[in-house]
Amino acid sequence: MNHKVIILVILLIQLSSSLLAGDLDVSFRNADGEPVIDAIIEIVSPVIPVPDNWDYRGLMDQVDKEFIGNVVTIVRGSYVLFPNNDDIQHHVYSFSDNKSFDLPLYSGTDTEPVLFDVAGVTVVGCNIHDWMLGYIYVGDSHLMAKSNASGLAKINNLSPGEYTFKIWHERARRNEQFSTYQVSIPKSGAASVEIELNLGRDRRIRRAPSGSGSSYH
Amino acid sequence: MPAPLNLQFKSYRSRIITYLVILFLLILGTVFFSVNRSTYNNTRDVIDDSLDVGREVFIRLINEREANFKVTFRALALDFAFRTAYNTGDFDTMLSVSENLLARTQNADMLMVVDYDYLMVADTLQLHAPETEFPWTYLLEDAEDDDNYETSSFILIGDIVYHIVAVPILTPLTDGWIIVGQRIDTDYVTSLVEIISSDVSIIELNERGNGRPVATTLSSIQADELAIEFNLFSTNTQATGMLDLADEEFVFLNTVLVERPELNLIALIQQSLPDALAPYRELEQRLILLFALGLCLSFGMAMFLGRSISRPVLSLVKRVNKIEQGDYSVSQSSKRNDEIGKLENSVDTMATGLAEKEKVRDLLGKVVSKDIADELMSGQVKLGGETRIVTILFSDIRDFTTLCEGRAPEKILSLLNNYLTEVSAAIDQHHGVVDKYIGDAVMALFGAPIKSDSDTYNALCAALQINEKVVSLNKINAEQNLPLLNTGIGLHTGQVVAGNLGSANRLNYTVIGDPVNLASRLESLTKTYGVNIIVSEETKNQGAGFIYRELDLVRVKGKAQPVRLYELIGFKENATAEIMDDVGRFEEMLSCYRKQEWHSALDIIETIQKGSAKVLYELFRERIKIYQKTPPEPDWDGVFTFQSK
Repeated sequence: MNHKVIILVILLIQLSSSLLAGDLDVSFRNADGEPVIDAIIEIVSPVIPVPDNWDYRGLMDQVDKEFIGNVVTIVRGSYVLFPNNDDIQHHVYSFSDNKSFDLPLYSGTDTEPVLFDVAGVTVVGCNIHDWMLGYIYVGDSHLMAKSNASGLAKINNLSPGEYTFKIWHERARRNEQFSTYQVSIPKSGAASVEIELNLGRDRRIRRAPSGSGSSYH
Repeated sequence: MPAPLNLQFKSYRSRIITYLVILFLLILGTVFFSVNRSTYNNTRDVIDDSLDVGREVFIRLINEREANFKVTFRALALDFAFRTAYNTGDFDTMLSVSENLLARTQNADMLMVVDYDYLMVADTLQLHAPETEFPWTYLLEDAEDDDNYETSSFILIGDIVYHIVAVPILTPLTDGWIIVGQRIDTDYVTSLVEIISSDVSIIELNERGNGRPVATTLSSIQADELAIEFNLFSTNTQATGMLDLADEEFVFLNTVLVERPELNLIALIQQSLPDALAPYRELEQRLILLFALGLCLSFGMAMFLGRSISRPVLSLVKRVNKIEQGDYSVSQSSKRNDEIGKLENSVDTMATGLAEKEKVRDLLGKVVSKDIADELMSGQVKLGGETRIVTILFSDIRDFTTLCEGRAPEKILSLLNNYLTEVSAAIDQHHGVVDKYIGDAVMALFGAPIKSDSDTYNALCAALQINEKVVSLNKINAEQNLPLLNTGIGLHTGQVVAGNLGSANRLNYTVIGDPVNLASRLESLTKTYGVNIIVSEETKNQGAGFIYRELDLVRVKGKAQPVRLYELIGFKENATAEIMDDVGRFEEMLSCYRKQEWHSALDIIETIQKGSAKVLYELFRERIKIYQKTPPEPDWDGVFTFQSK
């Protein structure tokens, strides 16, 4: 395995007069220095209880024969709805280890939400549209974040201290997938971590050509 | 440098036949060679085109098979039940599923399922156990590099080549592959023969470049030879070539099926050259038959043509031979208007001309000597002459006028003609030329117009022969009661002017000069001395081989220089002791005479006076008696001077 992980921790100490809390900023870049979107970070240590008022619902919409929000993060025990907003039916399924299910052909929002009670990554597909691909990241912790278009995944308001977080990305190499990082959260300000990922190829197959649809490249 | 072709022919007909047949054979050979070459090249082009088409069809069949497999197994990979079964991880179930799929797939001979970690899940050939590593991982690595996670190739399972296609199992990510394959064996390539009209061989190349046929439509013997010969054959894509397999030539076209370190496979599209040339072989047989017929016809035509030329030519040759032998009779006209006919007419014209010329020559030969006639006929007649040494012979019948008296002119003429015929024959026989007849006298030349080294000798021989002929003639004359002839002959050799004398219209070949006159004088003196033949000293000196008797030293009228006279007695080989004694005694007498020893001379005369020399001895007896009475001058040189001709 040949990968470089550069961790630069910059402690920016900002004095706060009333509350002691810091942020975790993880910036994902690929080998070319380009931002990586939809990379997930999850605090695994220390274990912080899920707040009581946590919303255990998730949503993976289907529009134009694609999963919208194709990477969804939920806390273990959440229910995910798979509404079909196309005018055709879809057959949503997964053979993943943490959750195997299938929603036979359906339309609209009539389906029951699906419970994800085992942490892990569930790969979701459509039986009749091979290219449709979605990921549901089921975390043990609610302290999770997904990188935006700038490659930045951000978790706010962490109590100062030492934390361990793990990362996931759909195209991350096996040795990088779920790898963990140590970070010190300052009393104020943000602990910034930069992670370079050597991404594998997109395992999504080419979308079948259609008169109006777009295709992946 | 080789010698040029130089054929020797005995006849013109053979030449024409040979040349025409050679020409025809050359044309036939050229035509045959051209047709053969053109047909061969055309056949090769047709084979090459056919092989190109066969190769394209073969590749298209392969590609279509791949496309069909992909379409079929993509659909199967989408089957939710299959994917569900795949995710169960139950190997027996997956093997059952795989066998079921295989049974329902046309043309597929094996099916394998491999997971994303390249581990076997199911193998319908049951050669590889579940969870063992898929042996051809490089194929799946190829598939992972493909946009659709698919690949196709050829693999070798045992000794059997399989054309395989790998399509991904999506759950929904690519989680494994279905690998389906068709056996490329002899049955398969045999099934292609009808489609591509060519033989097909699949060759595996090992690391050393040696080939091994793994499937072929060739016979086993040819396949074995192909394995041996293959390393000579280029493995370049679309390379073409020829191979001789079991005495049958094949044209090949290469197609590389797979070329990678793990496996090298080449497909050979091949066609038998003899099979392709078979239609031409029939044409070739007909051409040979046609050519043989043409050859016979050309031979016949050459024979006819040769005969049409050689026959009249041979006839002309016979005709010319006859002309050469003196037959100038005009031939029957062939009425031909071509060159041969013109030649026949020319030969006839020539024969007529020769006949006329021969008549002239014959007639001329009767008037003049043959040699003179030949010179005249040669067209080199010209006035004037040339100086040359000749021997002149004069002969004359003594007392001819007396002989004629009282006899009929016809008899005299007949007698004279018989005599002159014999004389002329003797002259001719010894290469002399009768210059002219002067009554009963004959003047003959030896050394003109044709000169030889033995002119004088010939003249002396002719003189002796004339004497002999006169003796023979006299015997006949005696029997016929005709007068006997007595001939005198004079011979002298000297320088004369010889040539054609006369006018431009009338010529006479003769010689002129003092020697002519002297020869005539000598002939006249024969009567005086009582001998038949008198020759001058010049003639005697040039005529060896004869017996001479010196007669006298005289000064003839009109001549200052004395002339020594000799009697020609005969050939030396005929000399007898009596003759030689007689000659010796006479010379002894002559010596005494010239010394003015008159008594001695008379004594000798008395002892030897006899026979034919009687006149001679009497002549000297009388002359001595005169000298005894009237002695000559003291400075007498022994010369007797004649005061008359």
